[in-house]
Formats: sequence, C-alpha cells, structure tokens
Amino acid sequence: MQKASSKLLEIEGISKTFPGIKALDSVSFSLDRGESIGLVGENGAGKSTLIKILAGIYSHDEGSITIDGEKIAMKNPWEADDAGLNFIHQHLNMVPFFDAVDNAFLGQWKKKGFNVDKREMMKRIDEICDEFNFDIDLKKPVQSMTTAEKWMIQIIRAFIKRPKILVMDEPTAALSDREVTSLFKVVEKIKSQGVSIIYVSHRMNEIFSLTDKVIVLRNGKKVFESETKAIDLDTLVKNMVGREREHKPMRKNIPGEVKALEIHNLNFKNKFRNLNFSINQGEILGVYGLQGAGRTEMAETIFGLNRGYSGSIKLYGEEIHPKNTQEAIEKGIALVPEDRMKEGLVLSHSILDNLALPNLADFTGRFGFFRQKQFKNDADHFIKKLNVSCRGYEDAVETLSGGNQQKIVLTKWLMKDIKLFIFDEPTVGVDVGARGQVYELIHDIASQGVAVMVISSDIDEIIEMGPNRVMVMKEGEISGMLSGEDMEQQKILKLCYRSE
Amino acid sequence: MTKLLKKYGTLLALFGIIVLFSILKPGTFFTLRNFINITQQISILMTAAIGATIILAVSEFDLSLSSIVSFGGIVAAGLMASGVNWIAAVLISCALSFAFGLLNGFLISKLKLPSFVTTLATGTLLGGITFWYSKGTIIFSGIPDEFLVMGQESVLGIPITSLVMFGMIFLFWYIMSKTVYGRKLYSVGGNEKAARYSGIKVERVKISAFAISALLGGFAGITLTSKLGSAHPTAGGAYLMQAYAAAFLGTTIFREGEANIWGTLVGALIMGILANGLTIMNVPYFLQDILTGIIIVAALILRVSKKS
Repeated sequence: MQKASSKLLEIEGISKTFPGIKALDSVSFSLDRGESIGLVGENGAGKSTLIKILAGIYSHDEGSITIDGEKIAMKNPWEADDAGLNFIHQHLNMVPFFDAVDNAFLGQWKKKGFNVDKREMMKRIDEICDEFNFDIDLKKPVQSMTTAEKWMIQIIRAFIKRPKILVMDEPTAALSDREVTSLFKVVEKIKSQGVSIIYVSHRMNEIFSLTDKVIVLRNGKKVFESETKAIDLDTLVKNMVGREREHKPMRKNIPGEVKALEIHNLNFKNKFRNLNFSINQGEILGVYGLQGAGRTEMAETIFGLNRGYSGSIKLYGEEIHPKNTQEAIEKGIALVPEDRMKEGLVLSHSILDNLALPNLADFTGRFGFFRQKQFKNDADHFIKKLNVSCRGYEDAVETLSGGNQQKIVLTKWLMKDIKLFIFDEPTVGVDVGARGQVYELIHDIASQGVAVMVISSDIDEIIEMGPNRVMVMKEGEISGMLSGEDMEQQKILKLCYRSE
Repeated sequence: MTKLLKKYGTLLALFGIIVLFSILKPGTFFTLRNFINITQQISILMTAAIGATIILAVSEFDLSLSSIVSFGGIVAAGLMASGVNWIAAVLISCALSFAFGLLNGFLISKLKLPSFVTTLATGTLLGGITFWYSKGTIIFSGIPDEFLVMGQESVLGIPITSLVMFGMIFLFWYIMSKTVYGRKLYSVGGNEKAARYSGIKVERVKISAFAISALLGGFAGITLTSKLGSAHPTAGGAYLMQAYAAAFLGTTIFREGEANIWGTLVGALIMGILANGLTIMNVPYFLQDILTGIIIVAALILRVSKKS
C-alpha cells in the first residue's frame, strides 16, 4: 500500500521572519522521487534561507516539512541527516587541518570500541570514489586542497549514507569550466541512482540542463513553478524580476565631457579579467552583477585594497597605482563599503569623532593639536547640508537610524577633495523611505563634478537611482554596458544570466 | 633550512637547552637522577597544561586556571584539617573544581559570553571564595601522612607524581587523537560552523572541555598540596601563565598549528629544564622569567609565520 502521499518531500506554507524582514512567506512545493528541482531567484529572494531551514540550521516560524509521509520538526541539523536530506553548502564547511577522511565523516566518525575507525572510513570513501571516478589524496589536510577537491569531499560526505535528497547550493560558484563539466556528470549519475535533487544556482544554463522542474522565489514568496522543458530563458527571467515595483526614475543627471576614471585591462587573480571602462566627470555609473561577479573586488582594487593586480588605473589622465587606501584617498578616491556598520563607522563613537577620522591630517595644527573649532565649523556645514537628523554632534553614531548613519559615512568623505566616489551597496539596511534620500545624495555629489560608481545587487535600485549608464558584470568580466532606454530590468538581467 | 627551522624549531630549542646545560654543568645536570627530578618538577605544571591544551583545542581561553589550582589545594587541605577522610576530601575537591568548570562552560557556550573576560571574572570570584574559606592563611595542620604519599614518595626510584603525569599524558593523548570525542574537540576549535552543521553539539563539547580542564586544574592543586604538605590560597598563581605557555609552545610541533599533548609536553619540558638548569647554575629567579618570556614570544613568531 502506498502511504497517503507518494511525494518524497512536501513543504507546506513555510514562513520565516528575521527582525525587520519576512525572509520567507508561506512557501510550498513538493519533490518526487528521482526528480530534480531548480530553485532560482534574485539575490535576497529567500533561497538560502529556505535551504538553511531544510538543513535544520534555521528553524521555521510556520509551516511543515514532510519527508516520506513523515512530518519532521527540523530544529537541528541531525534531524535533516536522519531523514535522508544531505547538503552541499555554498560555502564549503570544513575543518581546515583535518584530512579528507575526517572531514567527510565530520560529526559521524565510525567507531571501533573507543577508537575512531579510520580504516573502515577509508574503505567506504574508496568505494564512493570508485563510483564517481574521483581521484584525491585522502591524507592531505583540506586547507591545502583545491576547491574542486573540497567539493568532491562534500559529495563523498553526502554519499556516506545514501541520501534520499541532495541539496546543492551554488555548487559551481567557485569551479572552473572543466570542473563544472565533471560536476554535471556526477549530478547525472546521482540522478540516475534515484536520488532527488534540489539545485540552487544563478547560472541559468545549469538550471536548464540539470533540472526537471523549476521554482522561482521572489521577495520570500514562491511566484512561479513550471516544468523546465516547457519554458525558455525569457519567461524565467521575467518571473524572477516580477512587475510589482513601478520605477520612478530620478531627476536627470548631466555628466561632463572629461574622463575622470579610465580603466584599462584590469586583472586581479581569478576575481576579474580584462576590465575596460571609464567614468566621466559628474557621471553616475551603476554596476550590477550577481554575487561572485567580481564587482566588489574591482572596487577594492581601485581603492588600493588589493595588491598584485595588473592593468592601468587613470584618474584625470594621471596613472595611479594605489598600493593602500591612504594613497587612494590622497589621490581623491573614496569608497563607502557594503557593510558600513562594520567598515565605515565606529558605532560607539560620537558623530564628530567619526567625521574626524579620515580628516585628522587636514585639521592638525601646531604641536600636533587637533583644531577642534575649525573642524566643528566645517563639519556643521556638511551635516546641515545632508540633513542629518540628530540631537547633537556628541551623540554616538549607533543612536542614529540607518539612513542617517549612511549620511555620516558620506559626510566623512565629503569634507575631503574627492574626485571619484565608489558606493558598494549604498542602501543595504536602509529602509525604503530613506532610500530616496540616499539617491538624492548621490546626485548631489555627481552634480559637483565628482565621478560616481554605484555597485548594487538590487536591480530595482540600479534603475531607480537614475544612473547615466549601467555596467553589468558576470563571472569576473564585463558582460554589457547599457545606457538610455536600454537600462531596464530584463536587459540587465539577461546579461547576468546569458547562457552561452 | 628556514623550513626545517620552522618545522622543528621548538624541538631544536629543547635539544639546545639540554646540550647547553650538559656542557655547563655535566656533573649535576646531565644525570639520570636530575632527569627524574625534572619529570617530578614539571608534573604539576603538565597536569594543568593538559587542561590548557584541551581549552586551546576548542579555540577558547581559561584565565581562571590559577584560581582553580589554588582552590583545589585549599579545599582538599581544609576538609582534611576539619577531619574529613583524605580520600573523600580529594574527591570533593575534584568534584567542586569540575562543577566550577561546568559553570565556566555554561556561561561561555550557552550564554555566549567571551571566554577571556568571563574566566577572568569567574577566576576572581573563585579566588575570593578560596580566601574566604582559608581565611587567607596557609593550611598545614591536620593533613594526614597517607595523603602526602602521592606527592612525596617514589616507586622503584620514580616519583609517584611523575608516574601519574605519564599516565595522564598517555590517557589524554589517546582521547584527543584516537577517539571520536577528540575529533569533536578539534572540529569545534577548527571550524565551529562546520561542526554545528554536521550535527555536533558544539555547546556540550565546549562545556565538557572547560569542565575537564578545571578538573585537571583542581587535581594539580591537590597534588601541589600533597607535595608541599600544605596549601596556600595563592599557590596556583604561576600556573596559568606557565600552562598556557607550554600549550602554546606545543602548537608549533607535531600537529602543526593545533594544540596537542606531545607538543605541550615538549613545551613543559622546555620550561621545566630551563628552570632546573638555571637553578643549578644559581641564576637569579627573575632571569628565568625573562628567558621564559623571550621563548614564548619566539614561539609565537614561529607560529604566525607558519600560518601565513
């Protein structure tokens, strides 16, 4: 007799709320035996949260998870393991100084009496390696292994107990093309053994060639589900983007004629390759790309945070080689980092102290005294200009709202003579209402002739803030430069997901 | 060359110290009698240092170690002085030390307090309790002779404390490198997130590490009392620094970058032999401190350069 349900996995009405954000909103879907599902969505759509709930790492607020007709509370990682769910996480989690055997069996080491039974574990691993044609040195500590080797260990780990369901979260993110090809073979093999797969990826060609069904998440909701065969790339991208948000473009920004920043053949390790672009005086360039596209690394290189890059960076025709951030700042480059809480501000210090940080040298008087009064006057000017709402300048920055904190970060830099302003995710953690103000600020800065680069993972933001051009990056390369009418969601996204 | 130095530098240092003292004082230093002596001298330090090794393996720190050593000794001595049977006194002292370790572990892993400051605070607290219980004085009357056997007698010419130390080294080497529990300790220290994702009960492992370490600390204090025939409320003062120094020195060899028992033994030997040799040569005590400090800094430099 069949049980009440023939489905292997049933997820019903799963919701999860984090402080201030509903990460998942009543998501339901099911998975058949031997079926593979592709899970797609933009950055922040809720894919990773869903995976972590399935893994028992986060607990869900509402809904139920049923495997083989049995309801699982899924409050702890071992519950997932017992139920036959196995994971290959986006960030490979290993103990760096353990060897392959100890990592593959992490937390489930075989015992013989009191001893760890290394021989027995080796035997099991050899069997799995034979099955998948893996060739790795099991005695090496994983810290000296390549990403592909670490990935193989994760597969081995997943197959120690034959899983019912294998969940792969961005498995190819750090692999080379050749390695991806062999991964595909492994996935095919896993499928042929009747194991069901949930496959999360930003790479659409992988979704189309590996999955039977595709599910689209957007803003924590399931918005689309279809057989993979029945749809094409356009349909999928359209569903990922949605049509809910109306764009109100910002006022027009008119850039100057002179090239402020010129980048030629910029390369850095395996992060990005052959970047060529320029930004004019007073121009706003939006930079969009998925995680791992190399956007942040590119900005960091220009700001002097990375060594060992090749290519040239010119600021108003003058070749610069920023070896550290101080040098970059002296040349007139400012970067407002993604995590402004961590990197941009000393939260427990006062507004004035924070503002003083990059400006200490400019306000140092005789005998090394800080010219407090003059500094206060200057600071006052900018704080008023940016409309920072605070009770007094002695308040700790942590007492301000997200938007106002962002303004303090900007003010800090505005007091210097800046030629190029780089924003990395300027509105992460800023509530929707205050976003407009941040965009206004960006325009204010540009209108003073400063070249501006805005990096964002939020497609709506890229369009809303009203850039002059949008540069799209994909896997370390520039995949397109859009301007005017072409700066619209689907065109941008297609450049990210372009499957060749 | 630099590679070899990096890999075996600590062992070489141990060897160098032995050779140096052997040349300087062949008649007194390089004798079997003295080497047996050294094992006895480091036995209490090594007991505490094994605890430190376990704490370092889970990537934490326990600043309350000195207080635990003092506490263990005082409680055992105090109970005996008030007429409690010596075996019962030892067991109660061990149990209380263990319980104190559980408290440390609970505060650090369940309440997620930083181990450094937490153990600084609990150590101060325990130091206060120790003073209160001992009324700030040395306890020496009422300690039965049977209790002094462990710290002062020998079997076949080898001090019992040395034998106990060797037994403990072997036991904890076995636990840390051969058993599943040992793997758990190292995985919690090596990548807490990975351990958690793999279903290891990270909190429990950490609590157990603090409890075992405290038990060993208390036992070190009991042994010290047995050796001296008396207990002083600040007798454990030097052990925090020395135990962690030994364990840190140990991270530079055998299991590279990781705390391990044999490495800790080498660390304890370096410090023990240094103290022994310098004492034989009548070098003032402060110079021992200066040298120990220099050696630890050198070992740290070695460790950092290895990791990069």
